[in-house]
Amino acid sequence: MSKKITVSKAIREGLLEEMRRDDKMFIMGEDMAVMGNVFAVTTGFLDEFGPDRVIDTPISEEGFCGMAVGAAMRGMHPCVELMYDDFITVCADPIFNQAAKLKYMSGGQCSIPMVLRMPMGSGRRNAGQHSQSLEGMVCHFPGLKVVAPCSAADAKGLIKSAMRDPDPVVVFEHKLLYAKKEEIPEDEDYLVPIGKANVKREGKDLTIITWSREVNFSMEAAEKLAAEGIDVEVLDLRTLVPIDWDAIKASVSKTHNVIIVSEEVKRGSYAGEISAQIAEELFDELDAPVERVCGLNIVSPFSPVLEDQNFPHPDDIVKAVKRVLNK
Amino acid sequence: MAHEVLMPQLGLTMEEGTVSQWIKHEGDEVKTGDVIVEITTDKLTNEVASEFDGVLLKIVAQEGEDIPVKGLLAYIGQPGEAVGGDAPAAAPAAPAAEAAPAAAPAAAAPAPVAAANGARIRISPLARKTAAKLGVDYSSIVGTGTSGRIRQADILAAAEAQKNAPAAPAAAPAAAAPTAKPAAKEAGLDLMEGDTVVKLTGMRKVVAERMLASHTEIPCVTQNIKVDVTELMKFRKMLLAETGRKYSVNDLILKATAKCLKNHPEMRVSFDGNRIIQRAHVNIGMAVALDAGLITPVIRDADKMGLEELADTAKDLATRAKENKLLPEEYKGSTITVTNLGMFGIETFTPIINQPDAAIIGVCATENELDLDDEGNLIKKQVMRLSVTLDHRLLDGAVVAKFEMDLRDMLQNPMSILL
Amino acid sequence: MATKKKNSEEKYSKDLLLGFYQTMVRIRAFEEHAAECFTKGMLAGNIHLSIGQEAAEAGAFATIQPQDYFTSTHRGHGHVIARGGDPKLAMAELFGKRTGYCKGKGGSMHIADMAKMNHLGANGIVGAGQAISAGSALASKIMKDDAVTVGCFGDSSTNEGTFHESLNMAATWKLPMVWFIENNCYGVSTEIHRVTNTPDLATRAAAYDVPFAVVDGTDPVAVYEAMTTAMDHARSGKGPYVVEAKVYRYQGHYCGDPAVYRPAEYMENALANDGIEKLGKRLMDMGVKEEELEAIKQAAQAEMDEAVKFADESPYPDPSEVTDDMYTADNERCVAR
Repeated sequence: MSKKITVSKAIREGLLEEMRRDDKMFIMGEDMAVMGNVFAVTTGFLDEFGPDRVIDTPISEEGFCGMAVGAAMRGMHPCVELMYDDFITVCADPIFNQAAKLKYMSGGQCSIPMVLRMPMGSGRRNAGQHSQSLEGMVCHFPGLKVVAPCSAADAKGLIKSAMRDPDPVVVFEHKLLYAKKEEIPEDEDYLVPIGKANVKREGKDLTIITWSREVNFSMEAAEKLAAEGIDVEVLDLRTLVPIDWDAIKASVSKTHNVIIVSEEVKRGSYAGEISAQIAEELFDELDAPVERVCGLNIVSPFSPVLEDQNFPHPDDIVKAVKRVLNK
Repeated sequence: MAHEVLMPQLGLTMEEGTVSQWIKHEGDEVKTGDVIVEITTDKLTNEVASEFDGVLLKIVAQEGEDIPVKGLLAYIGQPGEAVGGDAPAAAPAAPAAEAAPAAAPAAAAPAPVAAANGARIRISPLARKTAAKLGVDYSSIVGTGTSGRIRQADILAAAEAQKNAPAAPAAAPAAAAPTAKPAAKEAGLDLMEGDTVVKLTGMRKVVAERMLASHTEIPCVTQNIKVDVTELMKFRKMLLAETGRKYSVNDLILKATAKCLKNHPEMRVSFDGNRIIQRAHVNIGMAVALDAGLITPVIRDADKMGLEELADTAKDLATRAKENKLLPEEYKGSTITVTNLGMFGIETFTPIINQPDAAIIGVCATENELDLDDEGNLIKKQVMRLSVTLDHRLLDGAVVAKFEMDLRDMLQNPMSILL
Repeated sequence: MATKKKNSEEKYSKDLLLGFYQTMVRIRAFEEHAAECFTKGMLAGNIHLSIGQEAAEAGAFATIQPQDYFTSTHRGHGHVIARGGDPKLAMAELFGKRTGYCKGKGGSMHIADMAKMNHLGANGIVGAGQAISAGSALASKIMKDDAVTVGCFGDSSTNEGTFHESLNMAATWKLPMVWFIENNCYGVSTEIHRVTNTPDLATRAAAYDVPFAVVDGTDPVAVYEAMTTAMDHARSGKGPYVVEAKVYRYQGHYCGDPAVYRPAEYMENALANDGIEKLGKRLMDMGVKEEELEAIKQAAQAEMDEAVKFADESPYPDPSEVTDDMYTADNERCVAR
């Protein structure tokens, strides 16, 4: 059985089911309770769970993220939202120095079972401080798990897995996916395991490794390429840490050509990290250099005309595939 | 179809040769036996003669280029005839692996690192791996990837063409050629005004490689010993008076060395990984300086020769070395080498061992020296130093010192050289 | 002065004061042993000592109940001793040994003991413990347990944003939290009043309508009284409370720092107000024999000798443990790439 709902509804369902299942879970963030979140992810939660478990915070990201860490050390399962992933810079310490590290630094005495949801990505004309894709920065810090779903089903399945995971999990949710309506399974226990990629489309000529919204663009590109006789495989990573290396290895060993597509600033991107790993370990499988297809090394611009230059569109992906295959 | 002129194999160890000069030029008529090109290789210059009648259609390897053995140098054919390079797809130059002689390495076919024209080949890692697996030589494949990079598909196509090709051309198993050594890395030094650049080729390159190998592999020690050659000089004059022949100091040193070495088998050893080879013969290498570098022809069984024969042999080898006319066998098989800088006034030096020898004897200049005799009178004598470098993996200082003392004593009592 | 005067502290039992004395002496003995080991090169990294802060810590921790939680700082050895932690395990952690509180992965600045001490960890980031202690208090509020969380920190961290963000939220949500500031007047080399406009630090709590007290941190009884009020306040659901204890930091910022940036009067005042000396006199005034106090000191020395021996003889972690404990689930895959 399946039904068709939006990605934001799917996330809401996932959170709702887990809140009902686990009374240690609570939700915390700006505009999460009374308003029910700017993307309507928590509408109705306050009524059902009360103000202790659905908490509107002041605009104090460092404070409430740090509090979530403290609560998680006490065995709670906080789910914190940063309204935009760009704001992680004002609460870097609780995420990167505390949530990520306290388990290790205490010799394994505690787990930090918290979830940090972060709307991310370009395309909403929000300019430089509300449009970033900071996967590379977040994945850098050992101790965090990182997921970035592209579909309603994956968003729900991954948020549920994240809530049940004993480690801190950062969930990148692309803002322009929230309104997308898609089929999802009706099963309440539907989970998408953390650390498992999804072959979205099989192909033999080249592998597109991607995640989040760029999966959809890559699928569009794949259709265009198919019409020209180029058969690409689209590998949706879904989880960035731990990365599903088996899936990457299998796909690269089949197609021998790779591009990595993300919305990140190209320099220092997680796409670059994946490229390096492929170069290190799958060198002999490569029939061409790995290409990253990312944003530019610039601040995300405001004007639509400019912003559209700053993330890969399906046509950019098509061009990159042809470049790598020299077609 | 035009005939290919390939880099000949001149001696067993030859891996590549340098095109030093084209005698014939594109468009020239050639007959079988005509010298068409000069190749510098492994310390020698060789002439390559045509095996065909026709016209030199195209020179592929330019002067100064290093070409692996069996690499393509030129095409000879009838005027107007197509040459291989013009139609690569139709005639893949990838010759069959089955044409490989027995000496071909059994493992993965060695991958050429340089194209026929000496340039680095752009090939994807996957294609290289596939080529090794299928035994495909890709040195002349034109790749279909970006910037002409050879991709796996190109290798598979070449392998297919190879399989379907009738018989592989008789002469061209490039895949069986020994792997060319990767060229030494260039540091990309900045050039200053007036600097010129000369490609490291031929003998200079061989000398550079061998000296580097010796100097980096061998833990070496140089021991200098002073020899009173006053008597030796008189002895030379006496020989001139008696035989009418002017023997050089070097001749006498060679003879003494040969004799001394016969009594010191411990000096005639070679290092070979986990083995030490005890050399049966007293084969003395004799370093000969040339404009282009240096070469070490070998006087075989020097201990069995009289002074006259030894001097004749040394002279002959030196002359032919300078004329580039030594056969490969003539500069191989030494068990010790003598190198002489005495004529240049060098007082001492640290010669580098000519592998696989275990030692080298450097002969220095003869100098006047004042000394006191037993009664305390000031006397003048002539002295010369011997600088012996030893491979400390095989020989120890004291062992070599004893040899040096014996050699010194022999030179100080020159009659014993002949007796 | 031979005459005994009746004064306020006599409303507390001799045993309570002896308990303070013992804790203070043990803290100092631990720190002096640690300093000696550091000087001898037995420790890696560096250590920050609590000498001069013993009275405040002894008094404060006497008010913390077994079910309560606390956070600590880079200058946190005293808290561990005051809370009843095992000096052996603490010393072993300073040594980077496998037997330490954190298996040698945290070191001096990061001792934690979740299971026995409810110690949520010392923290190397100034200000981090404020939000974490508030979060722990939030957990208590949601779970409706009876625990109060005490956030221990120094003067300088009151200038971090987390102080204000966390106190504001804790006050708004009436979290069961007490913040215990040990004000030794120095952030590394910088005297607090050169960079802070208020004479006292706890007064900042007033900005969030949070009650506070400022006490003499060389007097364990004064700290004990203030903290008792604070803990009762927090436990009764009235929200957070802030206590500031004025203390001295005898050493420089870290062990070996000569503290040349401090005026001589600082240490003159410190020594004139030494908590252990003062409490010792007070106990003798109450009839405790000097030998009894000496015995406490000897016992503390022996205990810390033993702790050093244990730490020194303990094994280092096995190098193969280096990637352990990064993640609770799927650790191997998460650290592999």
